[in-house]
Amino acid sequence: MKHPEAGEPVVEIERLTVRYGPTTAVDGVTLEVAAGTVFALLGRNGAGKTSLVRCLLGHRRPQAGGARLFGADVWRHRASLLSRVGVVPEQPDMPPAMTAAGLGRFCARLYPSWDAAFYAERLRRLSVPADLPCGRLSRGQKGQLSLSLALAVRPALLVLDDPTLGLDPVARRSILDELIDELAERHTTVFLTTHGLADIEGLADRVAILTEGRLLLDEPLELLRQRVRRIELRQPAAAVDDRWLDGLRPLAIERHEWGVEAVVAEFDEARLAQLEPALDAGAVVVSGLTLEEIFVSLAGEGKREVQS
Amino acid sequence: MRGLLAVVRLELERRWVYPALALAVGLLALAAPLLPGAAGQPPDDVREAAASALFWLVSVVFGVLLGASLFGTDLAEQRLGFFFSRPIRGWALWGGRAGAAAVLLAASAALVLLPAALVAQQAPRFTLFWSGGPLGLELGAGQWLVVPLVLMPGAHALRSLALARSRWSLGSAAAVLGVGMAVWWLGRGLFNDWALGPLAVAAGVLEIAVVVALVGGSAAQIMVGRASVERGQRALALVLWGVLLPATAGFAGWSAWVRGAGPGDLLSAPTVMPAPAGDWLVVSGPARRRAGYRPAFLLRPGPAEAIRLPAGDPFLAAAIGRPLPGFSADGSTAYWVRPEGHPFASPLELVVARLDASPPRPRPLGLFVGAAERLALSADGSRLARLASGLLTVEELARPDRSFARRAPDAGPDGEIWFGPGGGSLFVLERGCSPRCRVALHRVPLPEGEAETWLEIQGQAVWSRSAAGDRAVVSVVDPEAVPRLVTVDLVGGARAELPLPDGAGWIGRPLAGGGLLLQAAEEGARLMVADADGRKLLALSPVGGSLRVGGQPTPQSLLVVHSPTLRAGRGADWTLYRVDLETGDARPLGEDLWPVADLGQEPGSLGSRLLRDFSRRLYELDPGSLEVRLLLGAG
Repeated sequence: MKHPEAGEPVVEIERLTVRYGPTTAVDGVTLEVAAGTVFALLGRNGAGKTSLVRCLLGHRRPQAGGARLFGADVWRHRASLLSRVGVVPEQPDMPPAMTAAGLGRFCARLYPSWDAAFYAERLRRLSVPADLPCGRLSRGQKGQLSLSLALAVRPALLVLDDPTLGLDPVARRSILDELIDELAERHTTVFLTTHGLADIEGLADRVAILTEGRLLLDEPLELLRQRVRRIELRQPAAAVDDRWLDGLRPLAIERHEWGVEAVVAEFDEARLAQLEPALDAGAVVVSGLTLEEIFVSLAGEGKREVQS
Repeated sequence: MRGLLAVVRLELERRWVYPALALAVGLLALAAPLLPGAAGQPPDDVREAAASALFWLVSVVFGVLLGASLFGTDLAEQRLGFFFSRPIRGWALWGGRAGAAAVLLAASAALVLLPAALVAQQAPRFTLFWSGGPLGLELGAGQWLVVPLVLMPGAHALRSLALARSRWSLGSAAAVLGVGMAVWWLGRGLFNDWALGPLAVAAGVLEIAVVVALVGGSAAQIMVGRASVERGQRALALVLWGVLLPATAGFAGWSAWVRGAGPGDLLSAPTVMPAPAGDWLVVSGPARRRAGYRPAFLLRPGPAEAIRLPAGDPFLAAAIGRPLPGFSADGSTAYWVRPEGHPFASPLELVVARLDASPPRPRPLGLFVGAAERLALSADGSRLARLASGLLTVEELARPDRSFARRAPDAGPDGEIWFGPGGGSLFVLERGCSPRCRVALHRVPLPEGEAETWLEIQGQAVWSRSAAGDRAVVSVVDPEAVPRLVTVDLVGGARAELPLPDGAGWIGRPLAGGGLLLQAAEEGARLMVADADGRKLLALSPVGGSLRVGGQPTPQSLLVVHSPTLRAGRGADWTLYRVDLETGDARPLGEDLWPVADLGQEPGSLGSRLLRDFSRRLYELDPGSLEVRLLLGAG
């Protein structure tokens, strides 16, 4: 099956709202993922990621808005659309009595693009027993089996809902390496939700942060890194003018004996240059943040000020 | 289709153990002739019976297991997402699983029967516990379909409701209970009214509704709810109640409409019991568009007063041993029995109604009788006698404290009791043919005194009593085959054997006014009127063919139906005559009309004038104008 052209929208989510009784899990989220992109959706527990993925896979009908895959409404055309989608769920949900070999035979009947040789080879390479019931596999083996099932489809879109959740570091690394190999080989579009922010450094092209059901941001990872910076003002805290700090519009401020550390969401070099003359020479140090630090700053408890 | 076939194959692969286990169970049936209780029985029959029992056991157990595990486990463990993340349509997932489960169930059931059938070298047969014998494959398969169509989806629905524990499942569980109770209550009402036809119609419709609700509900649960337990429960609940609540409401409406049938709804009146005097009668027949339901009424046609009697047609109820309703000799009081609950229930409560009150109101007496008791009202309706197993109880209806009991001769299987003239005694007619035919008439003084036997006859006898209750005539063929006519004065006890006039038949009946009607039972129709001593007064025409005597609309007239042929029944050119008992003139009144009662009603009473055609419609004869008027039945 032909993969979409680069840049062509593969995932389109528009004003998607999911409610569970009085609780709104996803609140009017709109986003788009272009072909060939590795899209990472970040969010704390209960932010609404899994609800959004369920709508994206047509498992659940949203109360408002909708999701489209390859340009078609996924609720209406779920079965035909999912023949091009590989899915790795948050919790491995294969029937526990079935073996990996049996699952392979089942999927071979469903997917015209099923790559049986790839599947068998991958199970062998990762030492996943083909004839053992899934219920008796380890958590890591289940994760690998789940990814194998998703990849053997030769998907145009891979949807991974926190695939490394609960895995030990070795298993997590293994899954991510496999993912990177797949991407390098076939440029598959990936829609990924995760808690392991370190894992997607160097993997994701674009990130979005979901907090309390609302989309906090959705932008290329590089742009985000440039925008969110740490500024250290190395002079006694008592000497730092609060008006100067406010001028940076910081997300977080931490006061130390050696000075003040601020994280800003919209780093503006020109503005900093305007403020700098008021300070001692060399007192200002600007550095980048890890994705985890960015996530904590943005999706944390709001603007905070701490004294250490 | 690709998804459907993949799911079917997956299910067959996953659950192959069911047919394997069934075959093993079927092999057990081969060992049945070795069981201790099977000695002396044909081994093939024993194996077939054992295989049938195991067949039903396996069908029910596997049906429940397959139904409960159809989607229940996956829903509970949230594993349906695996299938909904594949290119499988909802209907294919549901249809594939349900279809595979049905195939597995059918295969398992067949494999249980197979070993015994192979050994016996004959086609498998089913035996139902209630069928009393083996059924053919088609009929047995028809009964078996209940398992995959009701039991399996029912087990699925119950498991889903139990696992989900959502507000929808709680609502569904409450509604299941509510609908179940409503259906039970409504069904019980119809059953208690002996409305078995309407009950069967309702049961058929409800069965279809249940199948639609369960199968449709489980399909909607998966197709609409997909991997969401909550949404699935909502879809299941909406379909279940969308079908079952209207069906239950329809059942309630149908039940109310059926049970609301009035005398005007009767299409015909196959059961008619007129009062000996007055113008009341008990009538029952099929009601219009009510699936054969036969309500019963105590009816006074003129002013259209009616009391509905419980438990349907009393003649049908008598077939299960229930006492028939009865009247006092003056027609002023009626009694009947009311089962406590269903028609087979025992004991039966006695109910009386004064028919001269307007409107008459039934009065439950708080007295309960068994099915084998003989009952009689006194002539004025003030006392009720009950005789069972030699114990006679006389209830004073207005003064229960004056009621009394005493020993009395038993009435036998076909006997009857009635109060003597003046009410100072009770007659017990003992009648039965086991081991030999015997008729005995006993007079029991009330409230005490020694019982006397006034008459005892061995052999075949036809017994008839005058409308006034003062005379009885017994036509006897003794063991030497000699016909005799015996009259009994029920006031004084005098008994006389009458000579039969030349050419007279041997069956005699007392006429109102003192005479006798003599009728031949063989060699065509012959009627003769004699005086109280048996002297011939008049030979009545017509003669020959078939003949039946009706009532006396007036003391001087008699209704007779006659056909020139010996054929009985419809199409025999029956003509109704009014015969003048003084002159012997016979005046034709109409074709294909029959008197309802024979000589036993007081002349002029409604019963003496009631007619019925071959469609069982009920007519009334006006004794003055001799016009016939339709009383009941489709005109």
